[in-house]
Amino acid sequence: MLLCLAASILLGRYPKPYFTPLSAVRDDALALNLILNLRIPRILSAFLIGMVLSAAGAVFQMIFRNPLVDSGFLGVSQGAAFGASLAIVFLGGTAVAVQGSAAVFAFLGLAASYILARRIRLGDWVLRLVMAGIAVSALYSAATGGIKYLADPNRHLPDIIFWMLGGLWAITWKDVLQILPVIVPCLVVLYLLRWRLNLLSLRDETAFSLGVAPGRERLILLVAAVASTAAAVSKAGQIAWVGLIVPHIARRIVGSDSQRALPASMLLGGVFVLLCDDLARTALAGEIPLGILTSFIGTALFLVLLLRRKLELWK
Amino acid sequence: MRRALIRSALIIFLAISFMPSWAGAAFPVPGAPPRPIQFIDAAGRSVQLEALPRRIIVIGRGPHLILHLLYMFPEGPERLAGMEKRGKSASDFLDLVDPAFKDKKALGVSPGPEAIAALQPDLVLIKGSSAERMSDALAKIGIPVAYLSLEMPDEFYRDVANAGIILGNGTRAAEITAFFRTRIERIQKTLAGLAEEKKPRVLLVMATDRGGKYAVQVPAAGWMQTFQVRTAGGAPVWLDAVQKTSGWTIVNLEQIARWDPDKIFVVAWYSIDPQKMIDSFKADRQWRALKAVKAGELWAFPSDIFGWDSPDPRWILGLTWMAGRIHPGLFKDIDMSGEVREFYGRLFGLDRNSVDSLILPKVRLDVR
Repeated sequence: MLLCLAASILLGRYPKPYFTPLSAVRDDALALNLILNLRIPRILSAFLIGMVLSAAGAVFQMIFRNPLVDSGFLGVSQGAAFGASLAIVFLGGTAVAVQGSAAVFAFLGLAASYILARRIRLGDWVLRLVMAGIAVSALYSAATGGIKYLADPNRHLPDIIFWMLGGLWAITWKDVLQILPVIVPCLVVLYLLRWRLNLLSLRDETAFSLGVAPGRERLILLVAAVASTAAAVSKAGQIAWVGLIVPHIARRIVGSDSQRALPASMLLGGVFVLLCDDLARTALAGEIPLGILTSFIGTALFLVLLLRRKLELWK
Repeated sequence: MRRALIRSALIIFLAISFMPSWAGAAFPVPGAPPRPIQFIDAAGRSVQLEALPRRIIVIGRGPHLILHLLYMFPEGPERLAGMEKRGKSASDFLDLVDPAFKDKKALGVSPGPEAIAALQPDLVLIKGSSAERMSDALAKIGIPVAYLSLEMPDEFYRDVANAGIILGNGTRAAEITAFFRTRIERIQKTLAGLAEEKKPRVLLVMATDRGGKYAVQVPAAGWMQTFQVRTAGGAPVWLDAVQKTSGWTIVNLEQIARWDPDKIFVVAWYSIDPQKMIDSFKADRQWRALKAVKAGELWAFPSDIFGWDSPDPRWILGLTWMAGRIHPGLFKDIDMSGEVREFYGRLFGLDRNSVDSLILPKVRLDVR
């Protein structure tokens, strides 16, 4: 991890593509300036966002006992997209409005799923939360579609699509300082409660008999996961596949015990998004949208994982 | 008696039936092409019309670009029957040229074939260089479609010529084309013989804050903005960043620092104030380290009601202005106020007083 971070600091487009020699850092004031004020905050953001998305994905997969869920499951990503679209079309589209609205509606997605799940009288708690999450996600997606329909196609609609691209080209220290107070405490909470995930993945009666308060602890973990995801998405836009694929890779390496799987997910997620962002800002003279790279590479890794699992079953 | 009456009625009826062709032969419209009219549009399609269209509808992306082209012809306002309205106004400018413009029928966003057919058009004009599904749908109900691209000068001249055919005024089309060609030739003649190494390295970017995210983007190699820089005697530095033939590509400041161009022109996205944008760049530590900013060669691209960088006919103003900023010593005699008056006077028929009172106050020129 430290090696990745250090290497990323020396990757960029100035003064030459790809690698910045240490002599340039020493002798060129602009190079040092760019590294301190642009590269480092961007690297930190990429790493933190990767940690958050994969930790949240691991938490959701354990709590919902479903290996195919990620932060989009409780309406978080869709809520953020809806909030951003709303701000762009109706609230002036400023950075503060868009990011704030994205974060608020991402969080409201969780709240809506939770409240709805409490009112459903069908199946156990996890099933109810899953169904409520699907409904809330669908509702947000429909509402976002409605906003896109109403949006000015010359002005607002391209803005909405642009926001959804996902990328960190505009990140500065100011943005890092805005998300740190949310992300760091949430990651700490998730890390400290990681061992409870093993119990929460059991049935409620079993978990309760083992000394866990399933409803309350589940809520704490979900709030921490969603809050940090909302903060990340509000800055970076939509970045797909990280929360889905990285926890699987982590479990393949360290096993399913969440005491090891969650920290492994965090580290791997941070490194994955960091490497993708390094590629996005360095490979070509123009920026490649981060969401496209994480989707491409994430999908490829997912397929490899699926095929390898199939081969192992054959063996 | 009765037979005579029937015979007379038949003769009168036959006379009335054939009268339009007699009228056409006896009173030819000056400059009108022979019927039926036919031309190849921007999508490479052969468009055939049985007669000059009397009711023209404009739909699709950037309708104002086609509307501005039509309004350079005297027949344009009369033949325009309606347009798609993609925003609060189809064009913030044409109200100044034609007081009746606001009464033109406005269709909603992305109108369907039925809504278009309700306006009974003889021809639908769409901006683009490749056919879309709409043209198939309209063809099925007998409404012809023609595409206009306007993206680059050669395409622009072709589209102007086609507009001349559509409106039956080839003479006017030739005048418009000559207006643009003369100005380009004037610039090219002044720059003739200028060695490549003497051409300043120029970066043209668009600064946007779309979706609340600030970004700096460079135009595609085949776009009007790149053509403007080249023709104005600059060497565009960003062509290795352009991995697309169309669209804007985001670049980061590291890349801009690597290019470190001699001159930077920034197109401000519509919601950004150009002066505030330039001031924020000059206040930024990284931007201040760039050669162009240090030398005072950071310029906001000019605009009036519309920008002077896009495929709108105003691109000729942007090109003329840019030549004067890239090679100020060679183009000392350019008077941009005079150019603006000429442009609006000869192309849109606005008199000097109207230009001075309605247009010039809106011109943002030499913002740096």
